[in-house]
Amino acid sequence: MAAHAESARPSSAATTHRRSSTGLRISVGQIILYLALTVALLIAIVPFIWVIFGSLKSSGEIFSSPFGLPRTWRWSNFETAWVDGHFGTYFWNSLGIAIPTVFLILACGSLAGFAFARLKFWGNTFFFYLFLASLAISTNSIMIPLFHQIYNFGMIDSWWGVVLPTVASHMPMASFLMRAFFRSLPSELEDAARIDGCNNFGVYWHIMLPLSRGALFGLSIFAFMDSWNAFLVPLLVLRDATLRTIPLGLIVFQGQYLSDYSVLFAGVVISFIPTLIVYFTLQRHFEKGVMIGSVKG
Amino acid sequence: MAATAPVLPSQPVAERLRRSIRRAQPSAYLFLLPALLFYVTFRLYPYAQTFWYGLHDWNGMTAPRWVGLGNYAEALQDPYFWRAGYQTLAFMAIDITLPLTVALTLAILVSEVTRGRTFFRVALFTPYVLSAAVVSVMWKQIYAPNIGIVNSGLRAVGLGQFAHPWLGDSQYALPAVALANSWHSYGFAFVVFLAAIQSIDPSLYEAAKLDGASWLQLVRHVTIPGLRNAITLLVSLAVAGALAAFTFIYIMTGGGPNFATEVLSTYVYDKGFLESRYGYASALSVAMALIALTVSATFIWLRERGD
Repeated sequence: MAAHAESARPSSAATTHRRSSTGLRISVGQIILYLALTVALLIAIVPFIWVIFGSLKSSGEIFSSPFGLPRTWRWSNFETAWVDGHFGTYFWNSLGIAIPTVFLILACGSLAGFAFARLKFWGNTFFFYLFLASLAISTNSIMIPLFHQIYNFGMIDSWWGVVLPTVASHMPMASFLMRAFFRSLPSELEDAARIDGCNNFGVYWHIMLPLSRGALFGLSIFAFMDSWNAFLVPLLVLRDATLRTIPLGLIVFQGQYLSDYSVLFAGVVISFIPTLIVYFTLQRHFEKGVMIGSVKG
Repeated sequence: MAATAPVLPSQPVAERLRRSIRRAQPSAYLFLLPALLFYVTFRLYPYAQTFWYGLHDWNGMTAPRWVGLGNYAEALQDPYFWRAGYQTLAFMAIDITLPLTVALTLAILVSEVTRGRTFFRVALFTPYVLSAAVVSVMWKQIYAPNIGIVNSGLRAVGLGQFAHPWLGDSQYALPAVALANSWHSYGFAFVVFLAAIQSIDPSLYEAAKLDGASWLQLVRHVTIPGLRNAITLLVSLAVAGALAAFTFIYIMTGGGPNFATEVLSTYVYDKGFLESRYGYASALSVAMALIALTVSATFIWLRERGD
């Protein structure tokens, strides 16, 4: 067995990630392992399969043959859901909110991260701890004053009313991440640029940003996902039906198709398909982006 | 690298350079300004306002009326607040233990896999990338009395008598929502654990194996201790996450049936946005934040003491 042969070899750093860490070698153990993982896998994906097949059945068929393939594939469910559910509008709204959100998070987060990591100024530590303080604040516990703040700015029923608070909630994490990243860069490049006459912004723009493409990309995936999936702030801010994002629109759609299950399922599938396509395309980056959330600690 | 290295500066230039770097740079504030503006306006100021509103009676229309600690006194007398608080803790208990246990187990198992590790990792992480709203709508149907897959499954294996309207039964609704939330959230902990396991020094395993340790002993004495930091981080994040579990409850049950799934965040929302009692809702928000802090601090204290 391959596992056996492999684990007999002495370990080296290069091969470790290919082998199991404890080198479980008994083949019975491997069989149990795969069985257990298959069960977990089923629990993770059966809901998807059920909803996808259900969206192609009639409502009666979802009830009478819950686990079977659709007898006739009713693509018309998707047509109904797409037209009646206005998912096209919701899609553009979600995108229109997510793009400026990500852009502002990258810009403001990297500027602040640069100041924290590379510049000397009075209050560096103070501002750093000021940012740190809010990692304990969740948007939930400030929803009442946040709503009134957005209202006072006249941003109810506008995209900015969602964008700006979301950007604000990301500022601590984004600047911490960029601070850590900029600190890890060697200072020789910066010194060289300064000799060539670069000012602070020049160093940031010509040296730091081009070197941090990877970190910025990870951060943008994290920020995009957060904005795309957000529920509470859009719920508070977007009252107008034409401004709804996908999560908000799906909730309204669910209320309208309470008993027309197959059309409702089609709406659910329409809502999660874009995310899944992006996830499977950018899988590795996605995981890294999500892990950014764990730098909080 | 040598080709792009700058000509070495003469001594005075280098000296001036070093001094200019050491000197305070006022332009730093300009770099900080945008982030600070956002943060103060939409994070810090509302946070301070929560305390301020909490000392007032305010319906959002007329001028706020100072009531001091009146809202807090009312909360202590409010049986629904106590019930929501208790249910928040119950929800949190499930929402921390279940996903973290599942994630830890799966991460250990996947790290043992020799073939198809990437496949399992990608597939098991999938639920996490969906929005809470989509998952809530999906699971509401999964629990539905007639078409739901839970009841269909029970009927299919001849256990039809156990079929329930899960979300409509005040005994099962809260654990059912917490289970849906766990299905959504375990993926994050799973990926963090997996990365942490892969960064454990392999020589520790080799040494333990030379001492004749069994697989379970390796897991218990090498893997789990190697994950201490990851566990602390994930528990703290899960405490915050459980308090933020507004979306699932709002969509799946709306706090019902008969208040059985009302938690603090949905109760704050109801008091504020449905009853327009912004002052009272703010006081409840402060209580909610205090609970989060207490639970996190208790956990960290227990951990430190265990050392």
